Amino acid sequence: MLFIVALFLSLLLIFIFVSLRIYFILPNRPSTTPQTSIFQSSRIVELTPPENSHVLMILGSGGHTAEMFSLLSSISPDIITHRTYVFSSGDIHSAKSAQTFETSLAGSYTKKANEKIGYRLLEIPRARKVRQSWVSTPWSCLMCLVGCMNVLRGGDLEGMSVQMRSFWEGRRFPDVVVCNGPATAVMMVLACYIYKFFGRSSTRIIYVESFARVTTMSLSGKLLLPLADRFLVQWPQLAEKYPGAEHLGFLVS
Amino acid sequence: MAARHSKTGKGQEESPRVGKGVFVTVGTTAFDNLIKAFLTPDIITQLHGFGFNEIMIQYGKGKDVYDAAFTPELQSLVKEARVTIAGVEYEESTRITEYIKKADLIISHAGSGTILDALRYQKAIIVIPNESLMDNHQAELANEMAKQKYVIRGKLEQLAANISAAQSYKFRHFPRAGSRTFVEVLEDEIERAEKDKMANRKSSDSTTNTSNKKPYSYRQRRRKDCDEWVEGEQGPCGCSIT
Repeated sequence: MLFIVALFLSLLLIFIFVSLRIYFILPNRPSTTPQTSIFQSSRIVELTPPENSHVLMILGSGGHTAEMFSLLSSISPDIITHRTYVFSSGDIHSAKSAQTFETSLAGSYTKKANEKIGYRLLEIPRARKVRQSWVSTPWSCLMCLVGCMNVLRGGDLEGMSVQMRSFWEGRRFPDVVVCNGPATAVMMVLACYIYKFFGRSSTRIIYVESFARVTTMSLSGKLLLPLADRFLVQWPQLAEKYPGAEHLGFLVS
Repeated sequence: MAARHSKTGKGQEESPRVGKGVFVTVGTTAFDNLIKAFLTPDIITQLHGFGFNEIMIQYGKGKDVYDAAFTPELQSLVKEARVTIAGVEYEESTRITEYIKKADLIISHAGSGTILDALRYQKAIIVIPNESLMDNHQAELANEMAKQKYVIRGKLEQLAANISAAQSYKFRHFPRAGSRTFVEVLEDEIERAEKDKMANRKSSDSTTNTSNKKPYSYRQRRRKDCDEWVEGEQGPCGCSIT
């Protein structure tokens, strides 16, 4: 009897601890809480923008990938020095698009040395194949999650050349994850939260809802609305309908 | 006929291509009703009347419908009017973009990729949502884009009317600053992530000294670059200084 009570109490404690931790790592967007609270301002450290930064992009099927590169079309490889592209296994189209995009960036480097080592292109298992049975879906989702966690902690660094490895070593975890819709994005965000939970990373998540969504949110969007640090929509109707979503005009161009 | 050709005289001087092009695209799925409505002698005659003589059709999964549309009547019309009609099943998006670049009028399903490509190259575009598809968010996009005058919202039954409307329609230009807005958000978030990281580090190791660093952001840095930029040219942050 005593054992059961002890077990129950310890489970309760664990539950309370876990929920508190999750509460603290969940984003508090500027729209919901004012940025200049005393608690916040005491933590702010003044510094120059970082010389290096690592952004991870999740590429999905056709339309999502095209839109992602449209969003990114004016990035500077001197500011976003480390770029990781993640695509689902077998999605050769996305991988090719990423390479084409990187080729187009080649001209805008000022540090020529970073040209070939500034990006990595990684494949992760698919969360769910088209027409896959629902019984095996949890398993494939788990494999996808493990793949995402491996990408986040830089598990592929071991296989890199010495030069590339030393370049990436200090920036294993991405500073920002950008996603715009595919199912893989949900798994990647979950993986981010697992690392955040244990205090391993302070990755921020930007979600951009597709330009094609005018009044209804996609399923990934609905799932990620409470989890993303910045949630951008491209039509005012969506921002009105879902509190927390920001509308800054069209982001594709 | 000769008078009609003189309309496109400018094109004749510059390149061997005569006349104007139409690109019809249905996306990866089948949209047989659009092909049926488009490949009729009436529409082809009308297009020829407006000076179009190169027609490219991306028919997706509707090859049989495309082939069946070439009735003897249409074939003789095509031969007589010297209109070329070519069809492809599906192409990579880069090829589709090429077709869009070459064409002067796009007739498209409501795929966002095609719409954006057409707007990027400032082409006249008629958007006809595929009503047979389950999700109707494509139709919403088409309606909203038409409301803001970026595209013409077409209907299968009124295709001829839509085509003649497209000849004189004042299409609004799509803003090109979207990516820049996004990149500003991205850079702000990078800075914020760095601040979080530094704050975490500071709480564990209070000896970190950051006071010797100049406190300005990417955005301010870019603006500073702009101040040093040559007048009259477009600065690195996109603003033009006058």
